[in-house]
Amino acid sequence: MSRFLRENSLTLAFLVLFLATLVGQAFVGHADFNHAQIAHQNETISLGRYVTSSSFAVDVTENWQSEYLQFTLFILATVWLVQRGSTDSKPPGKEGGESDEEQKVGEHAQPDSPAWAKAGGLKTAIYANSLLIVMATIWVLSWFAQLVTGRVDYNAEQFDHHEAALSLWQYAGASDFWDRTLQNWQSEFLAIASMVVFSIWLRQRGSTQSKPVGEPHASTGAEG
Amino acid sequence: MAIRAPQLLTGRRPIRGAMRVTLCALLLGLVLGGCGTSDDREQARNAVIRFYHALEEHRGGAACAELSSSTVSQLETQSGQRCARAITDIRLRGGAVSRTEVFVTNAKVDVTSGESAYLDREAAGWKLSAVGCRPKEGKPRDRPLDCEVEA
Repeated sequence: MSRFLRENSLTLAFLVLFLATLVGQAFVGHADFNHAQIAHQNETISLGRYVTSSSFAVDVTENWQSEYLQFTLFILATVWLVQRGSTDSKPPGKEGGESDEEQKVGEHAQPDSPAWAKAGGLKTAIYANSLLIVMATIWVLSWFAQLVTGRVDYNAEQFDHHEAALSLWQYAGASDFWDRTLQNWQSEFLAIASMVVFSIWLRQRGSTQSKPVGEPHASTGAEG
Repeated sequence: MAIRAPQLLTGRRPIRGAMRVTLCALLLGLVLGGCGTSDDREQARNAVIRFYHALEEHRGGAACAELSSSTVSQLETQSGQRCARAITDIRLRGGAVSRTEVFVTNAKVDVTSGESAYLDREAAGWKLSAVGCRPKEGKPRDRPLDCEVEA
């Protein structure tokens, strides 16, 4: 058990942080929702009702979709784009999918390589893009969930103001949907750009997100 | 490379629990995206039906009982009369319910005369916050409807 905890501590730590902050969001979001309800002379709702409402769901999914878009684009971009000196980049000249030998697939697979890396054909093609496929799928699903739940939340506000509701198609073109979307996207892209650039000149000893402290600034792709 | 998706290394296949939770939550979000429960729609619809029936039978008190307290207050302030009297002076066409929409704690019920009523869910049930509402000229979704009585 202790070995399991030690060897998986990175994932476990962030899963615990995720759950703790999601619970925290539920509580403060519930308080904020009911504050607005009172201000509009509407009925307050229970915590249980709030966490199963579209109001909570849209606040969660609008953040999820932007995170998975960030991963999707970064995974894809790092195949073809480079940043000299960054930990997060391949060295210039190595752009592209690389050779089968470098990627250890097919006849170049090792005895302990994943089965689908050795299989060849469609299986290897799928497995070779599986990370991108899964991240992109979760992004699309969470963005669609944001669309569906955001429409419900928005239309509740529309009715409170004695206005008409929007259809799903109309909401997809509404400023509220794109405001929620773009405010999340801008921060994700800034974070990526910051990380890529900062890692050129700054160091964090022992972190995989940093070059070794004494590694030259011009060195690309080295990890601490 | 940095920012890899994490895998749990147990000597077994990589854990998929986190992915299952994510996908289940996404599906739950999609399910919750519906337009209110059927109970909510029925209750909102019935409140509007009771309101218009009370008006047809000139039972102002019963009609006012379906209004929210803030709507009653606004009507009495504007008319200078008690709600039960003032509501019977309002010209509403009424009609059969043609559509009911519910989003969270807000609802809108359309009737066949072209009027709409807005409702809020209160502790005592669904109450009408606006009645006799019709779209103003221009794009209705960009502007509030014009209502005969509203909070």
